[in-house]
Amino acid sequence: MNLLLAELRKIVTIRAFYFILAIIIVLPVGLMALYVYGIRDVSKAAENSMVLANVITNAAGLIATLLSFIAVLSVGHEYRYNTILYAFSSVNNRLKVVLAKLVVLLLVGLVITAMGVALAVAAFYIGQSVQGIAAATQTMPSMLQYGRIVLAGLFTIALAFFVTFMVRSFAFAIAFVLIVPSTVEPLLTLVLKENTRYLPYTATGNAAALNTTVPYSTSVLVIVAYTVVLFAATAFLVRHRDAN
Amino acid sequence: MIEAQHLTKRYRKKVALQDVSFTVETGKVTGFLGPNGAGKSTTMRLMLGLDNGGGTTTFDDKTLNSYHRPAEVVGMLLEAKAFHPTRSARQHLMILAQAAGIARQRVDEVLHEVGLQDVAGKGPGKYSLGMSQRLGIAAAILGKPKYLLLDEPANGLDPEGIAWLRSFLKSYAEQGNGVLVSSHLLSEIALMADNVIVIGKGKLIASTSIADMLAKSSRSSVFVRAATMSKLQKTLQAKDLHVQPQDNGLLVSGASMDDVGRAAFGAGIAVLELRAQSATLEQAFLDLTADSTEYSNHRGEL
Repeated sequence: MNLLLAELRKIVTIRAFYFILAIIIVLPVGLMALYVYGIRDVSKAAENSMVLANVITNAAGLIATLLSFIAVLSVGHEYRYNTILYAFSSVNNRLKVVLAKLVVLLLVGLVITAMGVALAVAAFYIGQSVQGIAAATQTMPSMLQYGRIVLAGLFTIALAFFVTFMVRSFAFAIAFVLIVPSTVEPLLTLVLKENTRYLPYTATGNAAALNTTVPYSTSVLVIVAYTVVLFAATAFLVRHRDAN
Repeated sequence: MIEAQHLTKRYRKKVALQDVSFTVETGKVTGFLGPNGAGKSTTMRLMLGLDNGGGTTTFDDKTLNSYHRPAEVVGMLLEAKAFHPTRSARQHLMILAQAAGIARQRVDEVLHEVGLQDVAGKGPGKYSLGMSQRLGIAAAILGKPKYLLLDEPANGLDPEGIAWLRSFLKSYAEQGNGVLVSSHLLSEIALMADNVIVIGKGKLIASTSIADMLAKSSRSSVFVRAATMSKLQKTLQAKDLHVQPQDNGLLVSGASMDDVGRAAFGAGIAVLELRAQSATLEQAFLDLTADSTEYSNHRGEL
């Protein structure tokens, strides 16, 4: 418990956390509000029963991406400023530090995602009200869909976390989080075709999507497999490499 | 007692540390000396389990990872600037205390102890090197550990800070704790340490008391002045002692004052002045490490 609180304190005592938090609050809310305000064909919008489900899915995905930067900061700062020496020497097993960091990041991620999604939903209704749209009855995601959205979000954070621990380079980890989902995986589609579904960020997107041709079970299994392999690799490297 | 046994570290083909063994006693300050690149920091990191390598280190017969709260066993200062630059010094210490299960009020105690209480709310990124060292020392003593491992803690400290560090470490050791401190300030080590460990090129050169190290230095000698200098010189040379004229007297190396006094008395020479000239720690260090300096252009010269 002490270690968890210490890790939480590490996150909330850096300015970058609040900067990213501000973006998480402002950006989804702003985007969703814009989405609603931007509707030109009011009659069509009123017929669309999936708007809110899309708002939730998109907001959660965007927030998870932003939270992955907090994961990079959380680990990257330890190596950049050599505070990892203190982190590892305060415990009798380095894995405790890895687990404590991961647990805190995922919990913080859940709370912030819930908050961000709630704000986005509120923005949707406020936007509708301002526009004077009487929207169709909205089809909300099922509990299973919510579960997949949460899983995808947590995996996005965990992926950034594991990569940063493995490469121990702040710059590389940031580049990974920015470039792999936006450029590398889309380009690999040209080569891998349908096998793209086995790439981490693509699988994450498929798992959280409301409609997809890829079976959800495949995407979830891919995510679980990556998590297990990346955790094992991180644990091995953390235990067998020098502290920094 | 800390017992480091057969510490070995390799970086690819380069051997950074080779089978280094020594002990650090409680109740004493042990100086840790060696030329640049000798392996001092690597040794400390291996002792703390921060580097992977060969050998074992026990703290009171137990390895560090067998203690539930390692921070209460050993405190360390390996890098002065190991902190987040914008997180306040107090928060930095709060995090360390929380992770190690140490009471919060201890943070204010150590801040006061190192003299940083007035700047504890500021980010240490703008601290001077001396202030950073003080913060590092505060972190090291947070858990009131039985042992301290400090790598160059005097770097950047002003004269008042160095004096404070000296008295602090001596008093910490006198309370029954063990302190291992590396420093390039040999005069400081001479003033604060009881024992000394010297390594060079990754190998142990000496592990002894300061007094013993000085006494064994080739630069420890005896100055003698007598009424008949030429007779005294011949007498001492006949005993295979190295004699060198200096300041109207002779400098005799490799002999004690007793040896010289007895030799003069035996030859019926009236001795006018007889005194020991001890080597400084710096001279003794240079003697010991003359063949172990990796990054130097003046080998062993003062």
